[in-house]
Amino acid sequence: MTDNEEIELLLSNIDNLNLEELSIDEPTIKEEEEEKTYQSYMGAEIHEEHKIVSQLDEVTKESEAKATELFDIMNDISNDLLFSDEKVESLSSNLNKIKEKLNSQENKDESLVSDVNLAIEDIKEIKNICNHANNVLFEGMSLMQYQDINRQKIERVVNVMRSLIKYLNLLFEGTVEDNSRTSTPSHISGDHSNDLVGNDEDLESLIASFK
Amino acid sequence: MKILVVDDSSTMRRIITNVILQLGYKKDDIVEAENGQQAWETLNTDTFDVVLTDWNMPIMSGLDLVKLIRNEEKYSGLPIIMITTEGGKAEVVTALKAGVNNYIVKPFTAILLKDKLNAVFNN
Repeated sequence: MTDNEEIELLLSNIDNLNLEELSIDEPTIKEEEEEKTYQSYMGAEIHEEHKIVSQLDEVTKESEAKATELFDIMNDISNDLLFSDEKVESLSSNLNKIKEKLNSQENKDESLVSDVNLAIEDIKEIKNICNHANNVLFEGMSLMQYQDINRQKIERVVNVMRSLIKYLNLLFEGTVEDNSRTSTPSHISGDHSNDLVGNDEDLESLIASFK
Repeated sequence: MKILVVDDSSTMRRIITNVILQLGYKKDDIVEAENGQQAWETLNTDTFDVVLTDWNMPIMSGLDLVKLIRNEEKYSGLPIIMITTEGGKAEVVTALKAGVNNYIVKPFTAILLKDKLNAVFNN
C-alpha cells in the first residue's frame, strides 16, 4: 500500500479513531531543553530558527563548507581523469609499437593489423572523451563562483538589516533605562477582553471566593 | 614565479588556483591569504611576482591592501590584478587610481584570467 493510500484509509476511518489509544511520543529531555532556548519578549516567542541575521550567517557558512566539499569531489574526479589519460597514452604507445612490429613482418596477419588499428582509434576516442570530461568538470568548477557571488548578496542584505536595526534603535532611544520602566499591565479598563472584572460587585465576589 | 591569491572565500581561492595550475604553474608557486592584512604580512616575508586580490574582505579590504602596496617603494613594480564582484564603473576607476594594473569582475571565465595573467607575465 502506498503512503497516499494509507493516508486515505486513515481519513476514511477518522470517526472510528480512539485518540486515547493512539500513542503520543512524550517530548525527550533534549526537546524540552530546546524549547527552553527560545526567548520570550513581550509574549512573542523567538526561536533560534527565527533569528534572521543569525540564520543568514548560517546559510553563508554552510554553503561555503558544502562548496568546498563539492570542490574536493570534483578535484578527485579530475585527478582520476588525468590518471586515466596517462594510462591511455601508455596504451596507445604500446599499441603503436605492436603495429610497427606487425607491419615490419613479411607475412603479416592483415586482420591482426586491422584489429590493432581499430584499437588505436578506440584509444584516441577514449582520450578525447577524457579530455572533454575534464574540460566540462573545469567549467563546473568555474560555475561555483556563484556560491561566492550569492554569499556576498546575502551579506549585503544582512548589512542593510543591521544598519536598519541600529537606525531604529537610535530612533526609539529613550532616556529611561529598560529595567527602570514601569511594567505593562495585561488588562486595562476599556480593553476588548472578556477577562476584565466588570464592576465593583464582580470584583468583591471574586475576592470573597478566595477567602 | 610566485603568485599571491587573496580572497576571503575559500571557494574563490580554489577556482583561481585551479586556473593558475592549468597555466602550468605548480602548487608551490601559489600562496593564499584570507584578507588584506594576512596578504600584507605574507608579502613582507616572501617575494611575489603578482598579486590577485578580491576587494570586499574582512579586517582589511583589497582596496586598502592595494594602497598599502603602492605606498611602499619596494613594491612599486609589483603587478596587482583585482578580482571582485564590484562591477560598477566608479569602483573600477577607484581601483585603477589606487594602483591596480588590471581588473576582473566576477563571474569570470578561465580564459579571461589566463589572458590577463599572461599579459602581466609577458610584461
